[in-house]
Amino acid sequence: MRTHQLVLNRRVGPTPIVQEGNVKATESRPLRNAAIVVAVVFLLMAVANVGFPAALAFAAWGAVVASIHALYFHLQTVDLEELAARERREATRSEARWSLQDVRVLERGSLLPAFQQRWQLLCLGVGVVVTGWLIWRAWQFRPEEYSESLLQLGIAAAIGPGVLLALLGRYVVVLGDKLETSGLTGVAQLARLAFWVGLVVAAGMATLLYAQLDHRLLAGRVIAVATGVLVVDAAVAALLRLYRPAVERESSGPVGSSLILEIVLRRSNPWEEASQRIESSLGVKLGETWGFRFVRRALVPLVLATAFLAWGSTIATVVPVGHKGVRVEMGRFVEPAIGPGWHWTLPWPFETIQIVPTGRVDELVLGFERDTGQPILWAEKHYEGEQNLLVGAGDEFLTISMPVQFRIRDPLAYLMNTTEAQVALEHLAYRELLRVTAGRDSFAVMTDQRAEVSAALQTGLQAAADARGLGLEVVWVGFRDIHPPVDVTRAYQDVVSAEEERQTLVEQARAYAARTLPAAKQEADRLRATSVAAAQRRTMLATGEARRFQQLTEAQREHPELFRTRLQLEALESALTKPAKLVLATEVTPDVTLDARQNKEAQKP
Amino acid sequence: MKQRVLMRVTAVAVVVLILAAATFSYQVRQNEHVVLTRFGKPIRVLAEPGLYGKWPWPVEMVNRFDVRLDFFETRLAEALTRDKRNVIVPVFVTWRIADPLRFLESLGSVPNARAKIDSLVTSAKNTTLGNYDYHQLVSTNRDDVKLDEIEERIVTLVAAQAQEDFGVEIAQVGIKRLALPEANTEFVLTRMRAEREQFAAKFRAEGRQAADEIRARTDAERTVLLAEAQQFAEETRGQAEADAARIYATAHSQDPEFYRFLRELEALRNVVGDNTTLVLDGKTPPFHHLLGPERERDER
Repeated sequence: MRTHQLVLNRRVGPTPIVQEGNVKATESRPLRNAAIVVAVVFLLMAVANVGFPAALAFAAWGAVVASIHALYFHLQTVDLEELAARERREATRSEARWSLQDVRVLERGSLLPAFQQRWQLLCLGVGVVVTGWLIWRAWQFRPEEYSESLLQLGIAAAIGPGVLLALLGRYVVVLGDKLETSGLTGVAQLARLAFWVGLVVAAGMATLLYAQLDHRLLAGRVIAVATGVLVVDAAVAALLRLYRPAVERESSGPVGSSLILEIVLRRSNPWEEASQRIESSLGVKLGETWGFRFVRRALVPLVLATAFLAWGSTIATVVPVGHKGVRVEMGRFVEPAIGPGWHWTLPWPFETIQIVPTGRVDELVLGFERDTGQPILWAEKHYEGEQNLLVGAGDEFLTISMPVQFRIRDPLAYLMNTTEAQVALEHLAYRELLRVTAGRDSFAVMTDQRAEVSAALQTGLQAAADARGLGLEVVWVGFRDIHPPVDVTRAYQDVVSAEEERQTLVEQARAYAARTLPAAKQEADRLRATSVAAAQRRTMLATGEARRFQQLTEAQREHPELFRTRLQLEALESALTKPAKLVLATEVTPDVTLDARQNKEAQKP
Repeated sequence: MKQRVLMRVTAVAVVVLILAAATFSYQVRQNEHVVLTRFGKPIRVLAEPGLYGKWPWPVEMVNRFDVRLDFFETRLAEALTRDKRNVIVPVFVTWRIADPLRFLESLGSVPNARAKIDSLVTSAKNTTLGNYDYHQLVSTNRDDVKLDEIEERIVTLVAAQAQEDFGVEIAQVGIKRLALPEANTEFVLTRMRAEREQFAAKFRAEGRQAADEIRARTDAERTVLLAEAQQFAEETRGQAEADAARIYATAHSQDPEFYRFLRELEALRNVVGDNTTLVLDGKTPPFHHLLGPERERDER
């Protein structure tokens, strides 16, 4: 590569204007023009793909990158023209030969360094934000129904600019080779990628148009992700550039090219490259080894033979244990189903064997959407999306968990009659459950009718499955869990508590009785005993006193007068020791009244 | 060299052959029907399984239709019964493509078909439910329940239209569940709680009643026991009193005059207390001694 160290002293400091490009003014101009054309076609592609936001985002990014390149090479062209004018002037040393254009160019000064260091990064930043928003929009986008003509138009809109850009990319590459510069590599890569983007969009629409398979969402997502990767890659590369030394930074070209694309779209042959690397490190010329030559010569027959063998191997099929096979001869299911083992068939696509797992027991559970795996306690939620089963007269709810275990009994019916036998069985099971439980008393379902209900469900479900020809066998239906809704459970448990409380109250009363009655008996016994004792005491006392009287009587009979006087005086003695006052009257008649006051007055004088 | 060319020609021929086989023929499987279109115009409907030939795309195109029964649940929709009760009745629909050509013309794809059938069935379901009472959906009396009849009516309502307009056979409409709107559910739960609370209250009241009864009986027994004992005690005491009186009487009757004398003396002892003022005749012995000899003599 030729190197030019060009210095323009009109601006402050040593500011090299042309570094990476390393081209003459005449060589920079076609690069600029090519970049402009690419940018315009990218814009065209963006407009053409308004209806497909992912492709729009990609085209916008392409336009941004191409525009930055165009600007860069435009400024470079301007600088190089100025240089040429200066050289012309110095060669002739005659001011008179200056053309007007030369003067204009000299007066402006170089804008390239400022653009290279600041403005192109700003442009890229804006481009990243805009493209990012477009990608986000593309991600949100949900393709809708399109009319056939619109789809055909869409295919054309995707393919047209794509092909144009691919050709332009090719041209840019050739141009770069001719001018011996890599300045437009980033643009060339994006232009070549545009073809593939257009192809993906077109494929997404074509599958919808011709095969009724809508892959537009997938196509959009793929393109959106790819564009996002490119944008992030370019942004990271541009940011990393800020951390490089100033000299290196100034010598690098326009921003926006992608490192990933460079690796992916490298023009050299990876096989050749690897071979060269091995040769240089090991000293073995791979191309001349026996094995390599053999492989190269026998490649075609080898591929053919492998393909033939692969096809031929379709004549043997192994049906594993626990499975059954159904022969499909030219689309016709052949009865009966075949058991496990080795089976010969005609090669694909004339005959195939469809293998169906007949031994495996599958389970579906009615009553909820998802099992949380929590312990099954009535008062705590243990399933998500629990469904309330309406029972009784339509005014009671039950929450249930009914596992239904089933397996495939008739593989032919299973394959031929329904699209999704398991889904069908679930629908039918819910229908049977409603039939079996509705109208039953909730307590009965929870207690003594459990077995009856699950048995009825099993027979009913089997009959329904047979009627629809699902080819399934209901192996077992059980009640894992049945209880009132969680919100009501506390009330149910409270009834049990109340029953316990009733018993408690009775027991407490009995305890009171047990405590009180013996005490009363004891009191009664005491009363009886004391009364008997008192009676005895009374009679004994009386007897004693009577005896005393008798003895006194006997004693007084001997000297009645004396005895009586003694007694009399003794009585007087004992009586007269007590009184506070004793009045002796000389005459006491029944009319005597005693006036203590008068007596006191009479005593005074 | 010649061999190599031959090999390459063979490879190309094989590839061409496979491509031709793939583009010029197609298989119809037993569980599907095919509509062959030439430049978009349907030219053949194939129901029999086997291998068939065709012109390659884009001249002729194969449109495959799975004719097996498909089950799907319609969107949840609230409906009103004849007796003005809101119910949510999720139903599933069993259907199959009966006329592939008409299906291709009118619906094209299974998701589209499901959406259209959903509309038909939901509409028919709501219409039908408006003709039935709530107790005909769920009742303790099995004869009242008309779920099968409702299902059949819905099928009758939609089957002809689905067949004619979409080429679709509605094999079954099944009621999966009965549910109530959120607000009503809450009230049913409250009612269930109240019903249980009634039992709890009853049990508690019963307990209190039984306990009170036991206590009352206990108290009564206790009173009777004590009363009996008191009666006995009184009787015993009375008997003793009577015995005592008899004993006294027997003894005192031997000398009643002496008894009175003794009893008077005793009464005298007892009657005169500390603060008594006693007025006596001066002649009363032994005070008569205080009055002098003449008096004593007079007395004599």
